[in-house]
Amino acid sequence: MITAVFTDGSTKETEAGTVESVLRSLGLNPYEILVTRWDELLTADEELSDGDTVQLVSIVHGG
Amino acid sequence: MGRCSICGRPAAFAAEDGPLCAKHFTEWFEKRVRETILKYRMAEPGMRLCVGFSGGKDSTVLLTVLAKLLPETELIAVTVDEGISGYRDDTIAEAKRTVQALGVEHRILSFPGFCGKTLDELLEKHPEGACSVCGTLRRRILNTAAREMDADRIATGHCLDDEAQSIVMNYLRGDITRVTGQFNSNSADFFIPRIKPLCRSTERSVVAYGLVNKLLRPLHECPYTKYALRRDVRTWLGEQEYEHPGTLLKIAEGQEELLSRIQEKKEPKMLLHPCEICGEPTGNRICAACEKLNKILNE
Repeated sequence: MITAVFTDGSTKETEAGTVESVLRSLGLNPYEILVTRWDELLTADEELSDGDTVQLVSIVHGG
Repeated sequence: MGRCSICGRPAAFAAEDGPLCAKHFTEWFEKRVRETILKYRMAEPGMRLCVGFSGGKDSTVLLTVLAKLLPETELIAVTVDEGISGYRDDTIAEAKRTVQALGVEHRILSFPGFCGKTLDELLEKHPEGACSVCGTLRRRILNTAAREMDADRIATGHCLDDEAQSIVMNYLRGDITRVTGQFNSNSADFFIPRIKPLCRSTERSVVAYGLVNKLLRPLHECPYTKYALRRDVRTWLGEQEYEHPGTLLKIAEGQEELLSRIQEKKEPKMLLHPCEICGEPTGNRICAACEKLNKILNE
């Protein structure tokens, strides 16, 4: 399982897979979410492994 | 793992031309903004630009990139504090941090300074009208500030997604005046010209630039966003962009082509003149800002 951390601090766990498949499994549009791990930005085809924790950054918050 | 198509390092962003590492993505993004500025002749050395600067992600990236790309242009960042409880204080704190780091002059103006009330107070009875009231008053305050500081242009952080959303919203509202543009008015006599250097950069690339360059911190969403038609359009267009990459650019470029074809045939039709209440330019007897304020304050 991987742990996804949202901007508000809430978390969700889901099956490991690519960044794109993880976002889809969480019901999110991969275009609207950027994913970082250890402060590094990841592309959609990056494979996430069991035990990974990733930060989800929505591109659409108000400005 | 994706690799940068230029240097082979781990990729941070999938650009149209291929995956790019953080360094080459940064260069690619800045090149696109530079090309946009040149294509639309947005700025020249020696100009003074008033930069609409909320402290949010888009305007933070805009100000940072302009400071880097236009060293011979004078930048003055203007933040409009609408008075939104629990939201704007955080972004203003971010705005102060950013201008200090960049060494850019910064001015903060407020809704109470303009009309005596915060946005929260103006919207007490009708919060659903938030974006219309807020946008109208922000544009007014920004234009007045730019005129007073003798700015040549007003730069805003609108990106490609904003452009495409506005085009679709104009159709959804049946607003043919906006769909067909208002080029043949005398608006240039009254308003400081506005430029949008990020208008050909996707929101995704703007935020990615902010992340890889450590410019952004988590901020709350504006509490009034839930009332906006834009939110629904944004969600739908985001799905289209994911399923059919390039959709946003096609919408924006299609609109540009439409306007250029219309402009060739259009006769001058709308003349601006001073508002009867405040003296600011309007195509009607009363300008949009006074009309909205009168309606709210007289309820």
